[in-house]
Amino acid sequence: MYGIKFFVIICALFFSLGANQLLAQDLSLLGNTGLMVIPTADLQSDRTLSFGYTYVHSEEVRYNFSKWPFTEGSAARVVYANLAFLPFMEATVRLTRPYAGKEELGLGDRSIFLRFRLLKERKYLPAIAIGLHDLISSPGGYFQSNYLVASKRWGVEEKVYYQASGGYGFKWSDANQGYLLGLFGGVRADWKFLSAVVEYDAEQLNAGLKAHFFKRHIYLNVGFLQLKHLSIGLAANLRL
Amino acid sequence: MKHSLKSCFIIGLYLLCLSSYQSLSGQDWMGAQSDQWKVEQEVISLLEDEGFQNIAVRLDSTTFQLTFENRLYRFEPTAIRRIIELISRPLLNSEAENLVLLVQSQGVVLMSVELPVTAQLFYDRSWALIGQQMKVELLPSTQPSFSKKMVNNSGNYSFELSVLPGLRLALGGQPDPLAYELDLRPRLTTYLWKGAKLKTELILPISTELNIAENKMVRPGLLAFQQFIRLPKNVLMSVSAGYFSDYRYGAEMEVGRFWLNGRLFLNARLGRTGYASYPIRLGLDEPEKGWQFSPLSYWNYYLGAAYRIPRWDLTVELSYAKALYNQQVVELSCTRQFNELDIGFFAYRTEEGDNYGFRLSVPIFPAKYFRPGRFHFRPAKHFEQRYQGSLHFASHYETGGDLRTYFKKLNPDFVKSQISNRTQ
Repeated sequence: MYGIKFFVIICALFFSLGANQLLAQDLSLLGNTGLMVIPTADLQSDRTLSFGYTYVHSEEVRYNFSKWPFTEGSAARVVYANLAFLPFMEATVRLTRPYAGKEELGLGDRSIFLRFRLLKERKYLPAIAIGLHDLISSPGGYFQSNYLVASKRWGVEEKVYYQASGGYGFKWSDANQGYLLGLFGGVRADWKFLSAVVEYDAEQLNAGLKAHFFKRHIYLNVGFLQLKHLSIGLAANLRL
Repeated sequence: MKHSLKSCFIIGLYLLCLSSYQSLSGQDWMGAQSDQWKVEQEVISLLEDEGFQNIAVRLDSTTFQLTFENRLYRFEPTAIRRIIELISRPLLNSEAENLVLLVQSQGVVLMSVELPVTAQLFYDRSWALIGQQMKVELLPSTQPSFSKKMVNNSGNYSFELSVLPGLRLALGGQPDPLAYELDLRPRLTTYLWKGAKLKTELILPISTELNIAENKMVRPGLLAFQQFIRLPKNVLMSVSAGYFSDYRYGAEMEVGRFWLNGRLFLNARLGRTGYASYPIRLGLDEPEKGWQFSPLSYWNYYLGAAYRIPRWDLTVELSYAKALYNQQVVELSCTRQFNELDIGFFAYRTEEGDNYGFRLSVPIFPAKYFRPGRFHFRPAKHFEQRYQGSLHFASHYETGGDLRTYFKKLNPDFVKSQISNRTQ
């Protein structure tokens, strides 16, 4: 409850302040460019390599393993590396592992996410990207998701500026646990080194704050999934 | 009589003038030759002192040709830049108007780098400008005419000991989901004659969590001879024989041809191998020392096409192969070179199923090695890792000689961009 109040206050402050700043193309809690959970059509700038770590709240069953028998009620840690492999292609290599298990667990779920930008953002047209998450996978495929997403920013000359993203996620094959199935979307607003995010991930509302430090080489994501479950991610990047 | 005396006097005078003129021109010519010789010797000595091998130079009227082999620097563009730095002063003092660097690998000229000799380029040494004016050609059509006597600091019949770290990870197993095996692979490469080398490698286990008995014993790695030949029409050929990786022995021939100045590469490999292992038993049983062989009866082949997109230093490869264990494999891969770091993604299909993953090749410190002599020690140049997403593996053995290496590391577009883009 305190978390929500805090978030609302921060958002109110946030929208009342302003400075001209470029929109950051930073990573979501899950390791691809995006808001808290949902992807955007942005890609990291070419040759950017990022490493990140995310703590996912135990109640967020679609983003961890807490509904599985041996790991029931466990939060998850997500470790990932994201590379802007080409100016129009991004790849994420990710490992998702429960914090606690009653018996010996495997290493965790390993997955590769590939994202391609189909259209660059123009004055009146949004950027469009396609994402193939965990497309070719061993039978697990816990985090399989495929989607088309569009993003458009506005207010670039203003003190605060915004980006809206919307997309549609679909199943390609039978996966154990798909996410982003159906329509999803979100809005972010940027001011100086901070961003506020509100999103709908096809099933629930999430919100959060993003902060960038050291000339955007370090990102911090503080997310409230379902507007209440705190999940935190930290990422660092370098240019190859 | 008077006339004849006069004629004799005139003829004598003419001959005297002619002879003195000839002797004067001869001195000039000798002087020029001597200056030229001095420049050549200075360049040779600079490169020899630095540690380059197979050096030969020739100053023909206005073109300065220099051939060399780099076993000193990890990265070929770094070596080229260093050479340009080293020879700037003597070149500017010479009459050379063009510089042609002929880059060798195992004594075979594979690439030429041509650029005009101007004070602006060589004094200011603006690499961006040098890169712009540089003409880089893979397998240059004009072959240098250097005799064996002209070659200084020969790299033939020399030994190079390199140490490769070996790391294997087994992910997702039970009970240990992350098991590793670490070993060191000292490799002695003997450079023989032009294009020929012999690789002998030992695998020294350091630590292993994989429950494979033979991996705990010291065992041979590669024991292979390779002869590499450059043929006309941009064709390279390599023949390897000996004991390869993946417990194979036998021989393999590879032929590759370049098009579009190295942007397109087609290659084919044909191998005849058999099974051979040094520990007599493989698997969980206690290994026994000694060699075990099967007949040399297995044919394998590989057909590959690679295209390079210079804008992104990206190589897209498509291949079809008959790999080990009768597997037919179709593979598509994309590899991008981020300076010296290679990152690639691949996907392949076998009759048993699909697989996909990524590979990395990370440069290992240092960037410059000890000055090579008859015996030379250095760490491995790169640490390579490959991750495969499923259990449908396709097995290819390694011979230690692969023509694709030249396609990637000596690619003209890549070399040019690396010379011009690197920080000053």
